[in-house]
Amino acid sequence: MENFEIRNRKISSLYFDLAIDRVEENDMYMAAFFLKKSLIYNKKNIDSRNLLGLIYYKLGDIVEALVQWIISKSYRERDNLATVYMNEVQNDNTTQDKYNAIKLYNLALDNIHIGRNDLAMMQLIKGLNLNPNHFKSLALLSLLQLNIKDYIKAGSNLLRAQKLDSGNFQVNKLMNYTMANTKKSEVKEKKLKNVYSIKKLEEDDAILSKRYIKLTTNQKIIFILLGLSIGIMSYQTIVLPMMGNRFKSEATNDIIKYADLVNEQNKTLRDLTIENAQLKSDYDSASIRLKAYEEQNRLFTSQYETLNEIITLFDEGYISRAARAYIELDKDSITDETLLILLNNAKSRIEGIGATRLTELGTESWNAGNKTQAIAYYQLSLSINPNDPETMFLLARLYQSLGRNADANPLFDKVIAEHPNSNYSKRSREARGY
Amino acid sequence: MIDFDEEKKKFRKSLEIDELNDALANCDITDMDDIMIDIIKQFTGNKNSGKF
Repeated sequence: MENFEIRNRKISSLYFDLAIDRVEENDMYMAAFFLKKSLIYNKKNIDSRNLLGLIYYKLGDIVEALVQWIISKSYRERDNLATVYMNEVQNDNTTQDKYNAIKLYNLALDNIHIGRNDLAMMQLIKGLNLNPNHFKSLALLSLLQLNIKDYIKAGSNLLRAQKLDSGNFQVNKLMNYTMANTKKSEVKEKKLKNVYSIKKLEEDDAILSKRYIKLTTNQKIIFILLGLSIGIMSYQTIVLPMMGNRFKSEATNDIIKYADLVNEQNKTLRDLTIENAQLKSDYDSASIRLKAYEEQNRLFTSQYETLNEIITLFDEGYISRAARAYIELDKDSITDETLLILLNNAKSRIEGIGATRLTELGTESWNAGNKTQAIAYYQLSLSINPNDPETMFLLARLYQSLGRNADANPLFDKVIAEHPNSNYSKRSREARGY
Repeated sequence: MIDFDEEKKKFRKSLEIDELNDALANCDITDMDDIMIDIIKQFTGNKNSGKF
């Protein structure tokens, strides 16, 4: 086997390991992503292909699963779990229902594209009666329900979808939107992890999903066996076996032949040791690159979720929370093009209308007699836009009204110094008694 | 806000059972080994023809 073939096998196995980690977190979206990567490096990675088929099967895409298992069997006819899975599908008396659910989903999608949303909804509901675990149907139905502002039903279907795949970005985004639109008073801000509690669905409640590991016993056994077999394969390719020769001990000629053989073996062993070191170095290098990739992917996911949350919170009117999340975000660490677009969206909201709105909220609170809240709003607005003369002036006046001249005067002075031509500069001078 | 039109574009059709044979016939199962072998063949061919 060529060096690059050995390398590709190793990288393929490493991606498979990453996929297993994702499966254990019920993140089928990223697991499928890693498995497809694994197959790019080695199309004959039977374990990756079979597992990808299992993921498709779990999400209700039976035909996609069959495609993977059939290809898997074409590479290895015997001792292949794909045979077991395909027999399961054949013997399952709900398989025809699952095919029909797929058909109804496709019909619904066609109807949505021509504007017949009500008909699409009925088709999806019918499809979900046939296969309650068709992920795409759950996601699409919840989108239609959100479109008509039926947040309760949408939340219920999104929760069911998240139980099948907790990592799908679109479903998670729709769930965030649903949560923001329900009247539940405590929706916690979490930047890195989702913390949910499961409650019985009632009016005015948002359903929050909970991540949990859910593998059947058979699947656990299968994954353990797969892991063992990959471990053994990896060991055999990294630590090459010593080659020993049997030789006879006879007369002097045999002794000479023996000496020659030993010399030859020593040479082979040297060559193999060097090659082994090279392979190990390649393996370590690929492992480091994959770990860096995984870390980058985690960072990307976390940044994406945060930006998404900021935009959603802002659009739903939770200006303070959106602003706080925006201020706390490490913007310099965002380099991905897609994320930069999202960042610009967030920035235009928060630094544009957001800061102004926070100042307005401060003034409303002050007028209502809640000066503490007013100070908080003004300070938050200045955190976003530190040079706004109006907000500085208002905050300074508020401090002044509370007798906090030590806090007020620097602000007045700043307005005067930095905005000499503004109306607030004149008013600041008056307030200072100049 | 959710843009319904943008979100619905993200949904793709699922394969139906009568599309299975076509899917198998048309699926691209090139992997890195195939690409590397192709590159080596091209390189070897060019070397023999004096292009390098």
